[in-house]
Amino acid sequence: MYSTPMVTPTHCIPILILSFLFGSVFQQELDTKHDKYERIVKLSRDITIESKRIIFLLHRISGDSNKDDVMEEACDRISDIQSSLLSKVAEELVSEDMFQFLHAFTAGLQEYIEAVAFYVYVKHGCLVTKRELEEKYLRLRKSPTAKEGEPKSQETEATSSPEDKAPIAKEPEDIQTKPEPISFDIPPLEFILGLADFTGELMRLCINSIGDGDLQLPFDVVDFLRKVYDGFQLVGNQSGRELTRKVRTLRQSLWKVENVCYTLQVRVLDTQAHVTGRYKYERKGDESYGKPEIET
Amino acid sequence: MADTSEVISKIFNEFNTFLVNDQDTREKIRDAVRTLEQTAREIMTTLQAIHQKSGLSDVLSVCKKARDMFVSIQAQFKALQETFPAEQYYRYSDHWKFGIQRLAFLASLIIYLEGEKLASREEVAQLLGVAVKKEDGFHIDLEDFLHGLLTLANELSRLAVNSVTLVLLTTAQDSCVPERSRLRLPSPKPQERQSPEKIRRFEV
Repeated sequence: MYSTPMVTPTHCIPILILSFLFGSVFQQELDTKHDKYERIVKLSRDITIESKRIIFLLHRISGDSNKDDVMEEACDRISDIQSSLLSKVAEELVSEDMFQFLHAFTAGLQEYIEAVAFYVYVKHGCLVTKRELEEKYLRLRKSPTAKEGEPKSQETEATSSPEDKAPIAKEPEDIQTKPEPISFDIPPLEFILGLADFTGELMRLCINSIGDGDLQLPFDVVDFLRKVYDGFQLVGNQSGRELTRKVRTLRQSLWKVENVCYTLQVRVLDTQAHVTGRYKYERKGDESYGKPEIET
Repeated sequence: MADTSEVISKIFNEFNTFLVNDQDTREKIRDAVRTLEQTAREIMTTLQAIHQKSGLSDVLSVCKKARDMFVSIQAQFKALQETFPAEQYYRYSDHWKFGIQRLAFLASLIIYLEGEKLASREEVAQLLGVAVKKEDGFHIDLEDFLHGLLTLANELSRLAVNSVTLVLLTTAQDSCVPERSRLRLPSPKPQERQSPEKIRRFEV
């Protein structure tokens, strides 16, 4: 026989407490979390857009004619992202487990890494390291930095500020003094995924530079791309579907670029041979098969 | 050029080391979670006795048995906590999400059966041997706790049906009580209930 030890309704959680728990405690907690998540998603989207713009900007470089101007603008825009959007993300993550919200901003973060990697490659011709990225390109400040010392252009990010600024305005004293540096670490996987995206830009750079008639850059790029590809080979497919997919894309880009470089090389040699008139045939009877011999 | 290759291979070697370590950690977590889920299944089997006539007539001892098994659950959660750094809870939380939801359900079922009340987050956490708040270390996520309560609602509706079959009307009435209070219906007054003597007459 099921014996109920206590039978009065006081042993059930009273109506008031229940509706309080569900209606306010739990709901508030969940809402707070979801709101934060949404804010970060929004920021992430803005970061993605701005990073894409930087990449397109960098693709606009042709030769040395506009390189300096473009690089300067790209640099400005990268530091704009840091001081506005990324700083806001970092602020949302203060005293949170970033992995709880990683899903919300991984897309933006990867795009940003891609943009910075591309910028660094165009500038120095090498691959950005994670430490360099964190030290130089992730210098974040607590929110009201805009007044500090940078009269830079802010036309692009005018979104989503009113509700973000609200919770920060509690201590006006603090704002006047130094903005506190805040930061977050880039998860290694995100970093590598960002680099994988960046290889797509290298492919585009290589193809574009051929269009520009540059005869050196494509070969440099393909060389570099091959090294990066070797790196990815080392990692293999042990870290998830996303990376595998990106490495497959990388293989296709590399294949495309290598073919293009092959064609280019053949044409260059061909043309040189014709121009200099040193196209010699190894005669075998009167067949005209042969290989070009370039005399230097 | 040699410099570039060096940098690149360094980057990827670092990443490789990271991956290897990460996989080790995940392997350990998976092992710990497997034992947890095994114990959870055992508790579940124990508690399923309430749908049988023999179990239903002695719910408290069934609960006692299940409660004793939670001691090993607590130890297993301790072991799980030691497999990864505490601040990376959400990095790995997918591994135990299902298990902790199940355990939250089991805990709240026990608490309901013992005292006919809806378990609070604190009680469930205490039974599992985990914290309630994120700041206090390994905790039960609010969503997981609520998920457990949803499963509890399912299970109680099943219990209500079964206990009618077993002609134990008291239980059927009682398991509706939490829903009643949520819908803001008046709780049944104690004197309106049938006394155990009355019910006994219906018993087969």
